[in-house]
Amino acid sequence: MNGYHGRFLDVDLGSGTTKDLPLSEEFLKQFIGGATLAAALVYERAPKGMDPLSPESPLVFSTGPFASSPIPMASRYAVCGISPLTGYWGEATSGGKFTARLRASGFDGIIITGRSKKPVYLYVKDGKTEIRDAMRLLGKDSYETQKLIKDELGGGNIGVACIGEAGERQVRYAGVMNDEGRAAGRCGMGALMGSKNLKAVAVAGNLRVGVADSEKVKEKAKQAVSDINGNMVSVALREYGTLMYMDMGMILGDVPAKYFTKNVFPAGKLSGQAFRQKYTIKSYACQGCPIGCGRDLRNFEPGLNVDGPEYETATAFGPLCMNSDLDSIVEANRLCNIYGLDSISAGVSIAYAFYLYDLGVLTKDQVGMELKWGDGKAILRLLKMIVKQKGFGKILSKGTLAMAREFGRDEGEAAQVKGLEMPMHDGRAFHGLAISYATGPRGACHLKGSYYDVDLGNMVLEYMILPGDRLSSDGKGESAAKFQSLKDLFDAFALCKFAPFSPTMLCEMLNGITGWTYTPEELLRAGDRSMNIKRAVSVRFGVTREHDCLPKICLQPLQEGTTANVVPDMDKMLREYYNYRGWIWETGRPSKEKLLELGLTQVAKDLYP
Amino acid sequence: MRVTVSFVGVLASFVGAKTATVALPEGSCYEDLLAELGRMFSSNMPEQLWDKEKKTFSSPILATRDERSLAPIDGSELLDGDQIKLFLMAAGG
Repeated sequence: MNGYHGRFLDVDLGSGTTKDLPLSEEFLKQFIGGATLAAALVYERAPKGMDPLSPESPLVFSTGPFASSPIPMASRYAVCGISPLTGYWGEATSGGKFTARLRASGFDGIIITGRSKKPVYLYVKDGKTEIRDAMRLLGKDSYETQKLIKDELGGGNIGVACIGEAGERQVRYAGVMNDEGRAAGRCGMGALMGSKNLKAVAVAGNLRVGVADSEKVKEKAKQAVSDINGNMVSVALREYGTLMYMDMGMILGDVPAKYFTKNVFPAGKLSGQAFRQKYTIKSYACQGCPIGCGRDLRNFEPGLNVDGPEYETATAFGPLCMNSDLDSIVEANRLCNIYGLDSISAGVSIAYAFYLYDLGVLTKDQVGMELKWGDGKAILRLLKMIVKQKGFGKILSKGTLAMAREFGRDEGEAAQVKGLEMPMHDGRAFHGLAISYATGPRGACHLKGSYYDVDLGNMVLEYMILPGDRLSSDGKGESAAKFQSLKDLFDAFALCKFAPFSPTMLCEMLNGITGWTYTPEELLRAGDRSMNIKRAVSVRFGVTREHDCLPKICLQPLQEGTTANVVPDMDKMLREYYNYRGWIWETGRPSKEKLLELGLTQVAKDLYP
Repeated sequence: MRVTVSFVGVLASFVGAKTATVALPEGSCYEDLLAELGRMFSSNMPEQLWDKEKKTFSSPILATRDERSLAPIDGSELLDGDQIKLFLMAAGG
């Protein structure tokens, strides 16, 4: 078999045993890799009613078929399972060098069940596995943990993905960290890892997979690198990181402010240029990436390792909290990284606290401090309270939906979809984004539904996904569904979302590596299949059509900016979306016919016995 | 006639200006505006942004009069007083 080892490592931390989990070529061809392959495995192992934090709850680390190949921007891995935050399908991805190390360890991925009696970490090298004591790592932050494990294992090319204190305490939106400040942040996969008493996964080795047509792959990789380097977007990302979007997004009304009640804010204070002016920044790249959008801040505080922040983080702790103090945003990002915390869910939850305090729902006594919009110091204190599970931090650590319920508020005030907090793009600015958020497989997800790319002019000709009026809902249901399927596949290939690869190019790369004969049409079908296997997992845990919606707070008309008084027509887009997907309006389930058409025979049998 | 051009967001830093007012003959279209922008700013712009031989943007740039709809400018004539916004076609993070 080319492109894969054809096996996962199957670990039971309860018994301390490991074994190979062979994967057939047919299975891999159907689910490709990354988060999609993980969804197929989780579907097999996560029974209805299972507590996400129970020992039997599966946790999957998964790579894609391009890992370790010459293809650029293929350095991501997926961490998946049932989300402790949402209770439904959960996935997160991260870049860096971990992916290549995991692939070189001799496995395409790792599936972990069971709960260890004591803290441990997993060490996988050249097909051999050790479960090692991690008692001395307890309470260590994610940077220290990575360093201590690498030192213990003798250094060299070792990849470490770990949790910080947030994961140890099972904060519902704790993430998994690797390569210092790279984060698989969303959905609480760090809490799932913590529930297993698993502090880290360390991987190393020199095992390679076969490539069907290495000359073709090299040629395609060369072409891809040339395309990437010749593109101005790459130059902008290299210079300013993802913060390049801040001031442009604000003009488009796409940067949420004041807990989604405004979209006008002096964004210039937080732009990529502003960060460049204030800090000494060194760019860094994930393995095999010619862009290098990562940032190291060299002069924030002597002796401190400070990454980022990315656009999402800067917005969540910036405009969303009406905060324009750069230092507090950088420090908030640093805390999220060292503790291993999703900066989006944390930022949105804190912004909701500001909002409730402003309304008089929360008092100083309840919170333990005053909460005034824009108070960067309060943000930092709240972050520490979340991680340490102190006072008001306990309820903040459960996310906005739990907060709304706790304080007797309308759940539509909680800025989330299916329990996952809204990212930092606004569905009122791009209606195709709004329907993508409502239907995202893990909840509100900008990475599957980056429809702003389309309406800014980046079309996908093979699938007739064409730019249109960003503030119109006409035709967006079907177009967004197809785009979502394509973007979902990027997490199967474990590719960076900035990789400018067309469906045709993706097929050529995949076929060159595997020897398969994927066409763009079959690729779209694979994307549809990916969306449906993830949907099937969530349906098992209770998702219905009623969950495919945006919260009221994100649908109220804004009063100013370029999107004033325009809101998306969600019902219209959702009906069109369901029609394309072949999902049943009354139940929200994929139809039996659609499942069979996509080759999801077992799912069809389970849903329609 | 005079047309005002805004280079939105990071584009301004690569062009070296946030806005430009361009004088053009009556009946000019977007291609004419591009030629003038090239004359004014091509020495600042990296090759990934401006193709000096073809005298046009080398990466996709969205040019619009309407930042609400983002409807791209078509081949029709520009009008005196037009306010054109240029966006780098990239978002996300």
